[in-house]
Amino acid sequence: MTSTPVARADVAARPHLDVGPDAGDVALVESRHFRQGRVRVLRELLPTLALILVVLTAWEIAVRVLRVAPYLLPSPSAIALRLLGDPVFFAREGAYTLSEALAGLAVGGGLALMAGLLMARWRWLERALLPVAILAKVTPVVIVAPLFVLWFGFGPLPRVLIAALLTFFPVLVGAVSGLRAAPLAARDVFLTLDATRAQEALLLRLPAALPQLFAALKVASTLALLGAVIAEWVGGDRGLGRAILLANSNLDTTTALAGVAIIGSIGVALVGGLSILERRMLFWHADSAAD
Amino acid sequence: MNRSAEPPAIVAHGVRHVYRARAGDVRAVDRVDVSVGPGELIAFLGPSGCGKSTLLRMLAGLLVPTRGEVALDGQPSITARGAPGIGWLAQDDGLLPWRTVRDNVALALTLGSRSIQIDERVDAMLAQVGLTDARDRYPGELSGGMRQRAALARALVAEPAFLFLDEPFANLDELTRERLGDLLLELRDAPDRATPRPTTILVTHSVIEAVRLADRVIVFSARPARVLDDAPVPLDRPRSYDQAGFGPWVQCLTSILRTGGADAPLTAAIGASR
Repeated sequence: MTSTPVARADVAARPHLDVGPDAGDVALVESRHFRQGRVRVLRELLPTLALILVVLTAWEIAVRVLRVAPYLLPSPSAIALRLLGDPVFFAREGAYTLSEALAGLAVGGGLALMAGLLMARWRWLERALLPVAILAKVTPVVIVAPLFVLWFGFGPLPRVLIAALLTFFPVLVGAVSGLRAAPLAARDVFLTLDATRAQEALLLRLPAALPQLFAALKVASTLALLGAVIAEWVGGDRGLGRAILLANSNLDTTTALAGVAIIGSIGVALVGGLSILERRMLFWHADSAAD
Repeated sequence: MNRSAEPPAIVAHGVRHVYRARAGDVRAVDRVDVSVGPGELIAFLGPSGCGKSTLLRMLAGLLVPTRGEVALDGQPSITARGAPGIGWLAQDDGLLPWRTVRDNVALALTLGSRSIQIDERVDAMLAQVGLTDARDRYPGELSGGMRQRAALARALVAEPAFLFLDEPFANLDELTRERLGDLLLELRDAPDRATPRPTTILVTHSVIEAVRLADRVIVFSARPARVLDDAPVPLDRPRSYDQAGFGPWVQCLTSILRTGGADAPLTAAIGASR
């Protein structure tokens, strides 16, 4: 960054231009923080990995020693072999389920954000729509799913819609409370600068709502995945949910658990991905995941 | 009071404001009349919580008075936003933490219906406040004094006709307060301004700051705010602590504050004798 430092003569003549005591320290704080971040992530993962290893080892030993039948509880090694034996199958089905979940997240989240913006603008709308949203949330998915298949057929649409349905409420709550969280001082500034409502929403309220939105999205992403899996049980032609269901009916517990392991990994990856994105976008936020 | 022949730039007449609270209504401002000439720098001086900030917000168009009228350049304050241009600076700088200093200052030129040549004006303004080196930093990386300088730049870059300051330097150290006060005066008088000097109201609870910076001081009572005294500060600029008359003026205003108005005739007498 090229910059012209304030010349000595200038500072002498106008002493109030002295840039301030903290200026030099800024660069120092910045680099230290960034470096610490990478090492921190690895160190944070270590206990989790160690725990997983312990659990898997205990499981393996228990199954072998007690000679548990594979259709009751397969060993981790058997599950691993199944996964490695047909990686393409699991990857493909997993990708399919993931894409349904992501589509549902996008649709449900997008609608919820728009609804949130409208509700922030017109308070009466909030009072009117919130009960409807709660109703949608509370209705059990396993009852709604067959109805959706009946209405929308056997393709991916009903599954995406179910995932969207589960996503809607948490993102709506996050959006409404986040959009209200814009700091008062900044709102005053926008008012006196004669900002239009659209400018205030886009440049102030939406960025200020991001912390709440990210928290809601993390919750919603797991729900979207769950919704996609359940929807596949009811009327799917592809996907891991359907694969698990089929495996269960064949007493192929090994495949079923392998599928569950993949879904679990997808869930972790989704939330982890959101956390990484959050860290990048919310660098300015005091409570962000970076620390 | 307003010596110039031009019509006053800011007029408040019979202004009252009542906050509705669960525990009961709070009368913050009680029948205040204020008149400010164009280009003047007025200090609103008063004890904490007296309602002077509420009055300022009504003048700036951020709050609708419960009673009374407020007008900027003859237009009612609320609808006047945008036409004459308003600069606002409060104790909380209101900088957007996700934008750099430069982008924050540029906001004043991009919001509303304006679309002006931005880069040069922003850079020129940043140079004037001494933030050129910090222009790509984020507010979270700056000290309090630097943040207020950025907020001051944002308030003035669009060359507004009015400038409203709500205790902007209150939580800064004495030296920084002094420097920022000088910067404020300098920016108002900048020779390369295209528009005339902004009519300025500075709310402060520091008597020293009022005497250092203001053309005229309006002293308010404790809540609900009433005007106790309205007197010009007849000291030559640049003002300094060792200037003859500075000390006496500070003492005078302080005693008005302390006694709640019993000394008002004294101020008028001093003002008349100069």
